[in-house]
Amino acid sequence: MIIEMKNISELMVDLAYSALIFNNKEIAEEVKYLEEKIDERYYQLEEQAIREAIEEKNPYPALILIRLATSIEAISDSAVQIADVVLRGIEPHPVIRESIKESDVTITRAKVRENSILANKTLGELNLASETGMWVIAIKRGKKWIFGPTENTKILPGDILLAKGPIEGVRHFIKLCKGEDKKL
Amino acid sequence: MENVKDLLVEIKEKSELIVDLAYSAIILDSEDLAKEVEKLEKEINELTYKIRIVSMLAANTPDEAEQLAGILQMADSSNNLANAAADIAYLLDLDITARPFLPSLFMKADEKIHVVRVYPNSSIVNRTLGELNIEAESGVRVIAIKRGRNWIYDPEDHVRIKADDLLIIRGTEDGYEFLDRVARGEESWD
Repeated sequence: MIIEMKNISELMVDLAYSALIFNNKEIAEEVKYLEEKIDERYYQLEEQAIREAIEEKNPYPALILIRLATSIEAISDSAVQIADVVLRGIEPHPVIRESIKESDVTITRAKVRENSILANKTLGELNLASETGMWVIAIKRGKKWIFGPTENTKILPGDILLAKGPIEGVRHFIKLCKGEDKKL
Repeated sequence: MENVKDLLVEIKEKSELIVDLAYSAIILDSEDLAKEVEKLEKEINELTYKIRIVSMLAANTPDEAEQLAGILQMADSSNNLANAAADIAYLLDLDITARPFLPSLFMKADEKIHVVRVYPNSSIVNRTLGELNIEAESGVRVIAIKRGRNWIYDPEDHVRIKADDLLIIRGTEDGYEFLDRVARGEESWD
């Protein structure tokens, strides 16, 4: 459960920056929704840890787990705070967007064309993160969003992919989506 | 406002680094990494303070103030994130007998942290991180290097890999396995 919390909190931070860079309220709302999921898991973990501590008569594993979960919960709160800038309905200051664009781990988006080698393959088949350094953190398909796609998520032509990765990987990623580059 | 942008880039990069280093500290059970986390936390607190001052000086109209409030909020969030990350590393302050299972907690996370030792016969020896373009080529990011008793945190592009370096990396399992084979000299990077 703690791993799940860690993974969700990291997705939240990535999505929060994405919401800012694209001034997108839907992504910001998702961050808030994920915060609720984190809270649910936090309470479950707390209860479970305390139960085990009583049974095993050893407080330390519970103490460590609860402290860790508290920190992860605080990280996810910070993500909500970042996303909240967008929900206020004021266009974020342009330097915010520029700062995210220029930092060494950046966020980009690109539309997948019919002739792209990414089309009709799953993220697992493509092994995109290992091959290009770019992690797909969300997909916009028509009006719908897929947040935090998994290995089994299939990319379809027309999808808009949001990805996080090194600046050096961005151009290659965009060309792959456009079908201009045929090699991973 | 050029100045604010640079400060925001710095605080974003540092707040992401501190999270990675905090998890690395507990996974590798490393007091050195925990100390670096503590140092980074102070730097981020300092940066937040600077951003506050610069932003406040820049406001001339109510509209500007509203936009600048967003910048303050982003800086503040990064600061909170850094404090939360630092608390993770502070778990190492607990007595060692109280935390034997701590390093194994994150074995199944999406992006795992690993250590790779570079052997003298590896094809990456004496090449810079920039030349190798490790992250874009393999999907793993070098977050720190241990060289003898010294550490290089968040190494930059010009840093050259040397034989016997320990690379602390975060990323995909495939990327780790590939880099590990390369570092052992079993496979060529190119």
